[in-house]
Order: sequence, then C-alpha cells, then structure tokens
Amino acid sequence: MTSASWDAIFVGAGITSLACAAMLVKRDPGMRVLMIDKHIVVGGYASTFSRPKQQAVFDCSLHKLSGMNEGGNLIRILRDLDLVDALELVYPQDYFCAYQGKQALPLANDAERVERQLTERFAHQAEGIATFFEQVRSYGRNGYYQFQMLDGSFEPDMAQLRYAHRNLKHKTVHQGLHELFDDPYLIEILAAPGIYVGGYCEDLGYLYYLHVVYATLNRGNAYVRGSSQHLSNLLAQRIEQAGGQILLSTRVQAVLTDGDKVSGVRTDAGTFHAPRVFINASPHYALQHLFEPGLKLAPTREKLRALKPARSTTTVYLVTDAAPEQLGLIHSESMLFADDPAAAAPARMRAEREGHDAALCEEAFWGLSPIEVTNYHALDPDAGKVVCINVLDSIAHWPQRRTADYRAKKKRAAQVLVERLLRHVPGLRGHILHTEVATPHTYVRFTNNTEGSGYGAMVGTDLKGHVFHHGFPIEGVQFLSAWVAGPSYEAAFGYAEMKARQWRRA
Amino acid sequence: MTTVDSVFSIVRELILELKDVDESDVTLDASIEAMEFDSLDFVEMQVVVQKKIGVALDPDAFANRNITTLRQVCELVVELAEPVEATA
Repeated sequence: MTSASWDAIFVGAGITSLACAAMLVKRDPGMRVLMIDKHIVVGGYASTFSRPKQQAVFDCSLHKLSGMNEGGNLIRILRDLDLVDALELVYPQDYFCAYQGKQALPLANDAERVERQLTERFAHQAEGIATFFEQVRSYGRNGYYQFQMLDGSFEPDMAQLRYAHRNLKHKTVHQGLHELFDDPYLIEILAAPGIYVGGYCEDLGYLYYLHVVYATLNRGNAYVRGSSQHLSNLLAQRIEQAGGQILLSTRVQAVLTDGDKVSGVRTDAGTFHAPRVFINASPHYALQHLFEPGLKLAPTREKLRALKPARSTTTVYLVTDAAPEQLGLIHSESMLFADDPAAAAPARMRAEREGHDAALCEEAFWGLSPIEVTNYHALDPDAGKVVCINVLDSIAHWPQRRTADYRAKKKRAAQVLVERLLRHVPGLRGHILHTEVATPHTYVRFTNNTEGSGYGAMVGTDLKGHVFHHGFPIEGVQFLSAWVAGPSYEAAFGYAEMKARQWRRA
Repeated sequence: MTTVDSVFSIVRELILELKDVDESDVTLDASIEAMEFDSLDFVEMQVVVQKKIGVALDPDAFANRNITTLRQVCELVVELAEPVEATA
C-alpha cells in the first residue's frame, strides 16, 4: 500500500472529511481516496464511545442536525447522498424546553409558534420580538442561503444585504439583543441557540447568529437514531464501498511537498502519495505540526492569528436507573438558566478579564451560564438511559490532565452541573447510576483541536481570520473542516458539497 | 464589453462602501490584504459581481488561485465573462 498513489488523501476522518469524500466517490466512482485518522473510530466529534457495563452509548457531540425540513440545505444534501432511509431521523417535538426556577417553557419546533409563545410569555417585549423574528426571516435567511446566493440560484434583496452588512455585522449577539429587549431572561433564551455553534452572546456576531436561528428553527431540526456515529459510519461505508480506504489508529506525521506542490503524507504506517491533500484538522495544529519547516507559511500563520477558536465544552454524561422521561426530564432537549439571567454574561467577562481565575470561571461558566441537557434515551432508547449535560467552557482554567487538581476539578464540575439539573428536574435525584465528565482537555486529546474547541472557529464580529487559507502557498492542499466551513453538521455538509463540486483530478 | 476597468469601477465602488479605506488606496495594484476583506465581504463582492456583470465567481476562487491584487480579481472576472473562442 505504501507505494500506491492516491487521487486524494484526507488527513482526519471528521464529519466534513467523510461527507466530502462520500460525495467525491459518488461523482467520480473510480476515484482513489485514502483517509487517515489517529482515533480508533471515524467521525471526529461525530462519534460515540460506549460503556458496556452501563449498557450506555455516549455521543461526543450534540448531533442535532439543522436544515432538516423542506427547503433545508442539509436534508437536500442527505437526499442527494441517498442517506435518508438509512438514517432513521427523529424529529423532536420541541426546539428546546427553557427552565428557570420552577418554571418550564417548552418552545415549539416551529418559528411562528415560538414567536407566539414568547409574545405571550413576554408581552412587554412584543414589539422587539416581532422585529427579531423578522430579522431572522430576512437577514438570517440570506446568510443561510449563502452558497445558493453565490451560484445564482437564490436571489437576495440587495437592500437587505447592504443593511445587514452596515448595521448588523459589527454587533455581537449581546449588543443586538440588548437593542431590542430589556428582559434579561428573554435575552438569555434567545441567545441560547448560540450554544449550538460554540459561542455565548458576547462572543458571536449577531448577523451570523440570526442565520443560526434560521437554520435550526425555521428550517427544522432532527436527530439521527444510533447517534452521530451511525451517520459517520454510513459515510465511511460509502467511501469504502467505492474502493476508498480508511486507516484508523494511524497518526499523520507530516504533509509532504515537492517544490510548491503537495505530494503526499508521512504517517506511522508509512508514506502515501497523492497530488491533493485535504486537511481535516485544526489549522493551528496543521501549521504547527504537519508542515515541514522552511515552507513559506509565514503569511498564512499571520492571518491565522485572527482566527479564534469557538468555545470548548465540558460535558457530563449520566446514566439513570429508569427512563429519564419517566423521572421528569420529559423533553429531548432542555436549556437550564440561572435564577438571575442577567448575571451570566458579566460574570464570564469578568472571569476572563481577571486572567481566567479558576473560581470566577467555575462560577461564571458552570454556575451561571445556560446549560444544555439532552435526554438521549428519549431519542434512542437502544443507546441506554443516557442524559448528557453540556456547557460551553474555556480550557484556560483547567489544569493539566493526569494531575490531582484536574481530577478534583472534574468532580467539582460534575457536582455543580448535576446539581443544577436536579434542582430543575428533582425527579432524577437518587436515580443517577453513573457519572462521567469530558473536559476541554478530553477534546484536545481526541481531536487535536485548538483549545479543545468542538466547533472550529468562533464566528464573531471580526471575520478576517476566516480567510486564512486564501492564497495558501502549497498547491493541492485544501482545508476542510469546521474551521473553514463553520460550526455544525449543516455547515460541514454544505462546505463539503462545495469542495466536492470543485473537484478536478490532478 | 467587460473590461478590467469596467469591473474595477464596480469593485472599487463596493470596497469604498464596505470598508473604511482611503479612496486613494483603492487602486488596481492594491493588494486584497490591504483592503482587509473578511469572508462576508467576499460574499458581498461575489454577489455584486454576479448581479452587475453576470459572472458567478467560484466561492473558493480566491483560495485556489493565487489572487493577491485587485487587478487579478478584475482579470478573473473578465476571463469568466468572455467565453473562450474555440480555436480551429
């Protein structure tokens, strides 16, 4: 195999890589694809791990797929790949259920109904709510159909585009929502979908966020039964059926070049040659570890300085002794908000200003920020009685792995986050059999992602860094990951589709 | 007919509207770097070129070709606008 030559090599078997390669072998069936990953399973974040003793399978990412109703980009792509029948999609009833104190507000999985529900609950903010949903329908929609806009199949209203560019692009979600609303709880509820793309309200660009709301709410969402791993495995199967090969447990040591052209990769399992190499890894990692010194990468490195990672997550996996929905966690997804919803953003900003002081960070991220809870059992009972708690976090206040401090901190994270869940859903108390914590360091370990970010780059108000790959000096290298596509499954598939369309054999 | 100059006048007008740059700095030989374009600016430029000149710039044209100056952008648009005449 070492001497064989390939048409394309994919460094990393994450979801963008798998989707792109599956599309390529469908378009060009004789194509020889080699994919290499250091992990033992395909999928990157779109993977699972199991605990047989607990009869549980844990999903490493929240595999809530956006764009899954008619008119959605992702459902169209999945249909093009003939994957829909094999996927067993689960369409949840609610967008999510918002909890604060003893009050639960389950938001319908339909934009118009959510608008009505919020207008009813926050009658004093009715005007702002109407403006907000109009912004989602216009500016959010334009962002969502960006690729179609570029190929001419979607006609944007130029005046809208220009307005958004001048007035919305430079605002954070925090600023955008505070201009419309003064009710802090409403602001926290509306900012919560930012969690799907790895950003709090002070992080994300408002215009981009409108697109995220449009994608997840107006264009529908669904889960895959059998979790994200099932989706990744199906894509891998397509690649292998077409003669492609996937090497797991194999580390790529270097991307090889011949003059200013890429020529292949060197791995733990030998050297492989190809005129095209797709990098499905954090670009910071790739530039630091995969390219030989002496290449003229300084301009790319300089541009990359502006590309900030999205937040990482701390995740608590729980196994219960009875079906969680029978213990009171009735919705597939819940967002739990602090008693004082106005406190979270200033607390996070203060913790960061003060050099990520550990106590301040724990209070800000774990204690006050919204936490996202998924009842996986309600989506797929075969994977066990699993509940998963996610909170956007920062690696900066986590000590190194394999230290007593790290282990103690993991314990504290579980205590704080589980206790918040139990306060909102007291029926779960006494029914938790197993608790396990994944930290930002866990994610670095399995994905090499910068600062453990599970979402690639942060889409803030400054987007300069997002063009880091423009004019990359080595011909034949393409960057293909959430770091360029944007966070979420839908962005990954959309970008993979664009790359596959551009494919020409060398 | 689409010429480098006609494309440039459209691109120039757009840049002046989008970015806080000095008018005298937006020349054909200015680097794209100097315009500090971000990914959304590229989208808007591509949409405007599509609408006004009828040329669909590949979203990744900037990544794949070594385009560093505004002249090269305009030349690419001209190239795409003019169908290549078949040689007998």
